[in-house]
Amino acid sequence: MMRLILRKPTPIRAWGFDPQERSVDDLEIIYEELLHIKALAHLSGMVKRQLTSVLVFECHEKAGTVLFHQGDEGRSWFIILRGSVNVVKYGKGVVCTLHDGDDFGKLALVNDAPRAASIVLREDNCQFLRVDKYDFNRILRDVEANTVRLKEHGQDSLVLEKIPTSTQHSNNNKHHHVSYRYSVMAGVPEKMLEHLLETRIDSKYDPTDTFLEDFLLTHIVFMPSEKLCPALLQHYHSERTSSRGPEQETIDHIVNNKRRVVQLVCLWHVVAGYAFKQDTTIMQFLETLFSAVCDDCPAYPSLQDPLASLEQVLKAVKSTKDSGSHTWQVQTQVLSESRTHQEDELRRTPIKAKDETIFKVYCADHTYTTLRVHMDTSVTNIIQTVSEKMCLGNDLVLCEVKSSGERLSFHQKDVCIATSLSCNGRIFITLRDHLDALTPLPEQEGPSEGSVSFLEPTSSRELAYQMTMYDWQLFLCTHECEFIYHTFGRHKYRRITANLDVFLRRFNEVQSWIVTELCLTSHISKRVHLLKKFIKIAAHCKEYQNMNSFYAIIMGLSHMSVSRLAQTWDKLPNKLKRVFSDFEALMDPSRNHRVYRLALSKMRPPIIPFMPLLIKDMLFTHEGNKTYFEGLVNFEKMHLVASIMRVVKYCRSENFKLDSPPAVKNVKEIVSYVRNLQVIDNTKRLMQLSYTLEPPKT
Amino acid sequence: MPEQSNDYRVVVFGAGGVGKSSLVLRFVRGTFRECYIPTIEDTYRQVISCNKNVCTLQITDTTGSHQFPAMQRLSISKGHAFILVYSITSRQSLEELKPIYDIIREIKGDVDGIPIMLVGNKCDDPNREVSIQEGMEQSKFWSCAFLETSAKTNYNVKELFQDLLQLEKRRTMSLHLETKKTKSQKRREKLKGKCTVM
Ligand SMILES: Nc1nc2c(ncn2[C@@H]2O[C@H](COP(=O)(O)OP(=O)(O)O)[C@@H](O)[C@H]2O)c(=O)[nH]1
Ligand SMILES: [Mg+2]
Repeated sequence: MMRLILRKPTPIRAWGFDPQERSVDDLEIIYEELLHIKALAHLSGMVKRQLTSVLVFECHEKAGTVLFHQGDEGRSWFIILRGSVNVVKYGKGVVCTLHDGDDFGKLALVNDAPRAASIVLREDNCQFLRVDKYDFNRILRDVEANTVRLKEHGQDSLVLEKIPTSTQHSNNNKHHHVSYRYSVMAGVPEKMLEHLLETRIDSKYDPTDTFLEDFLLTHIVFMPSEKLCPALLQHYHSERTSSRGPEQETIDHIVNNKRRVVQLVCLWHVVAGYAFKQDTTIMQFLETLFSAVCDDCPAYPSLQDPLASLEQVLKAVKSTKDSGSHTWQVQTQVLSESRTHQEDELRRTPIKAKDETIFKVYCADHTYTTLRVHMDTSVTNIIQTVSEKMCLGNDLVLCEVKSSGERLSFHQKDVCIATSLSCNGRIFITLRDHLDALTPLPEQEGPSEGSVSFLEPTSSRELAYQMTMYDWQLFLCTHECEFIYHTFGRHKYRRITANLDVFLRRFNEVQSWIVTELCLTSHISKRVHLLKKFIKIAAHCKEYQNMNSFYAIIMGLSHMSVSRLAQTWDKLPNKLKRVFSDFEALMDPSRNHRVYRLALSKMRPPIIPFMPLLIKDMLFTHEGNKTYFEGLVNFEKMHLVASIMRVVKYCRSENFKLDSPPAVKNVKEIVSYVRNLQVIDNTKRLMQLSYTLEPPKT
Repeated sequence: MPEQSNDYRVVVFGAGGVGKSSLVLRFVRGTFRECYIPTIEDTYRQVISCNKNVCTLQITDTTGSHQFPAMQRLSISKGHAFILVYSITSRQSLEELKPIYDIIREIKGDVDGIPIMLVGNKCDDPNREVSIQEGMEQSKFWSCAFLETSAKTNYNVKELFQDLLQLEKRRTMSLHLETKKTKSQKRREKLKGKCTVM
């Protein structure tokens, strides 16, 4: 169901305009688009920005059209937006085929050589982006002029981009003074850290300069704490190698250096939050650093203040560590805490790596064993435990069996699999050769009766309110870093994405719930009533700025098995029909979900964003940009990744304080209902139900 | 072999460490282990005969602690017959069965006709705290059957399950597949046998 949004955006209107006529807005849209094009992944953001104003959209209708001939002078470079072409050489015929996202023709531009092959369209209606030679060379020249490269041992170690910032003199508004700041584009991790300590800790706060924050948000990708901590300690102790100047100067230098390291650690704590507090490497590092600063204090009394701040951090980290761990039980759909205390039953705490999770692992004959393992226990370890307990033999695989019968094997190194299941998915174990024999449990079908009798008398507002309160908690528990683990591969970092998983699954759950309830309501007038109710709930969610549930509901209502119920939709009052089509317009995926993004930009926090789109943005950023090039970390990619994480932070920068709707009698029942939605998530079964409700016209 | 409606479901209850898992594993696999691995909830299947047909005995081995009341209630409501295990080396473990018996009564309503077996396990152990008479009295009080067993020495384990099945009056069940089998039944059994080995 998420595929609908993950689908590649259709070519945007802005392409069509003459490059000269593009507005700032158009250029921005194009820029976002370029970030997702494979052929451009190796280019810096600066180059991409420049390209937005020179790229030409070109469309050819007929297959067989020759774009250029072998031997022609090379005039332009092409990127395939949609379609495919054959690369043809004299005497050899077709040497290869290129598809969406591939590019060709650059070589001739760079080398000033004739075309080495001909390009022939393989299908009708191919779409290209074209860059002409003159523009291409100019851009490369301009960008190079604004690039500063620091070298170490003859190799680039830090690449900075000079960015003009116009600042106004406070006493004279008319005079603009152009100054520059240097943004980090790429570098080796150690060099970037050094640069960070030297230039960012003591600098004035500049909201446009996000290097420090971005480094701390994304360091796991290029410098995980196992490397960052020792590097920081080394910086802290670097006095031994520092310059020998006049006595006082040396001391100042040493003290400043130490102070910056401590300050960076304190900032790290603030920026990374939970990810920081849960990391055992960081914990040990803090202890080591703290005692080092203690030891230094007698010699350098001005370290007293940094020491106090560090102590605060250490205390905060220790207190989270001591707060104990929880046990989470994976029952049917929700991951619920097994020992909830009555009073804070409704308040969730984030799931941590060392929390325990309880789940069942099924065999082919549907017998099961119940496991209690840590969230971050690997699949390999789970297999081992089960196989010892059940005497199952060798070459086993652990997999998810979905309610549709689909089987997905887990990666050996994967962690926190229990939260990554689909709504009605279950974990199975089997011999590798017997994978095909696994069948879903009867209970995975989901309910056979809907809850219309509960929903009918319950207020839409109350339902939307309770759904929002739940979503908000799930959202708060989700850590920004989980987006990185999710996209870059959690097994690589051995970090869990449990909180994000649960929240993403919530989206699918709500969507399936809508479809399930409608498909299980056989009486047409009741079904119309339910349809009205769901549209109203969606409207309330939108009002609460709960875009996640809003989208889930609307996507549920647009699901094939619901949208085809013509008789039901016919009976919907016109007013609600209009409301629904307005809502549908908000879902329009074209121009990279422009409508939604605009709507979002007008909202003030607290907002519960449409999660699947954030995931999509992260994924495209990851796939459209290399993490390293030429041995350097592509920090521009980190800027992009961090900017998505900042959206998440922004959305929850204010706490949710909604006026609860007028008190109703059965609040408890409603709360437990919205948190335990029973759904059918097998599209085939939903379609069958839909066909029995309103048979297809023959 | 997916769950079938004619599965016969037996649930084993008792305090932690009395030997529930050991009894089940001795019965299903013929093995015994000295080490103690706490159980949360495991199920096993065994082919038996029922009304001269092949059916499956599904055994649910439960946790001893009261951490998961929801799970406990669910397995009671799904269960057809119950084994209540205590250890003869611990009077406390017999005491702990009482609330479980009460919950079974509460959920099942009338316990008449529901096969329940009270089991004093570890009868090989010399450190006895509960005499055989005490066990028998308790079983009379509950009007259920009673046996002393040892999973370790394999004493009365098979009998325990056999007797329990015979208490079921609504079906005729036996651990032995003594019915005259048709060819297809034999083949089915063979398949099922394979599945349990898996
Ligand atoms: N001596 C003796 N020890 C037993 C017997 N049955 C189980 N045990 C031991 O008691 C401990 C707990 O057994 P287990 O079956 O795991 O108990 P459960 O918690 O009720 O499932 C284990 O160390 C077993 O080896 C028995 O019949 N005799
Ligand atoms: Mg056990």
